[in-house]
Amino acid sequence: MKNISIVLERISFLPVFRSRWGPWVLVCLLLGLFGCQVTLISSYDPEIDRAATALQKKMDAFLTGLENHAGQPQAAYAWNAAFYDDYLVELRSLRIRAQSHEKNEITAKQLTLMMDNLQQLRLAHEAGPLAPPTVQATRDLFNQGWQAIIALEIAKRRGEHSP
Amino acid sequence: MGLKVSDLFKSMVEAAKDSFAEDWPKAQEYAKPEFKRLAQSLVDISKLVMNDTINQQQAKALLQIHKNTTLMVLLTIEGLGLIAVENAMNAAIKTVQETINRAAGITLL
Repeated sequence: MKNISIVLERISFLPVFRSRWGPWVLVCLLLGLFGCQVTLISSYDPEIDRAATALQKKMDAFLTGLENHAGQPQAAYAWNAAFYDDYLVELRSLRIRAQSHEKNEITAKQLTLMMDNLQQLRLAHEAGPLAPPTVQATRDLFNQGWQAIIALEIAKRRGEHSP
Repeated sequence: MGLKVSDLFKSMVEAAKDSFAEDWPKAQEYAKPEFKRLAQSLVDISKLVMNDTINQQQAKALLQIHKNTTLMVLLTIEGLGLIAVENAMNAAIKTVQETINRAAGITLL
């Protein structure tokens, strides 16, 4: 109460605060301030959720195909080079979408890391055929990476529990 | 002697505990199972190298993928932390609003 009196005293030079409505104007200003919601991270984007889920599935299907065709021409890099280009375009597009949201740097960084993962996979594939145990280890890592991205996106739905 | 999942997992948890400090109790529910998966992945990669299943370039690439994935997991933990702080701050603001409304006797907010 003492602090409110001090504040009223200091702003009393303004006409509006000298009127009998002064205290209510001050209360309304404070309420306006208190009415602000804090936002530390961007809001949920269903399109990012949908696209990330689709890209996780696409990579899983690709790697499963390599595993099933191990030792055959269909598993060679040359046969699959186009996949890497197409996937990179989709990743880049998703990152642009993530970057278009304010306070979404974390998701944007994760997508940049995923782009590097794709490049590393391409290098590994170019270096020689990928044996089934290698494909399995790679698939586990890609799935874990996508799960991290999707888990965060879902958690941005305000009011829901974190995963 | 090969890498052990339990040893790697323990190292990851200890490092994360130091790093997250008072935020660790909230982060561990998500972090611990993810660290276990990452520890298992690293053991799997080491076996691929020891058995010559992968060549040097492939080993280098796979280890980089593992490092990137670890970073992605840590970034999610950071994001979940921000959401938790945001929720706490907004809950406090809501309490203040409700208190003011009660004191005023009408719904000002």
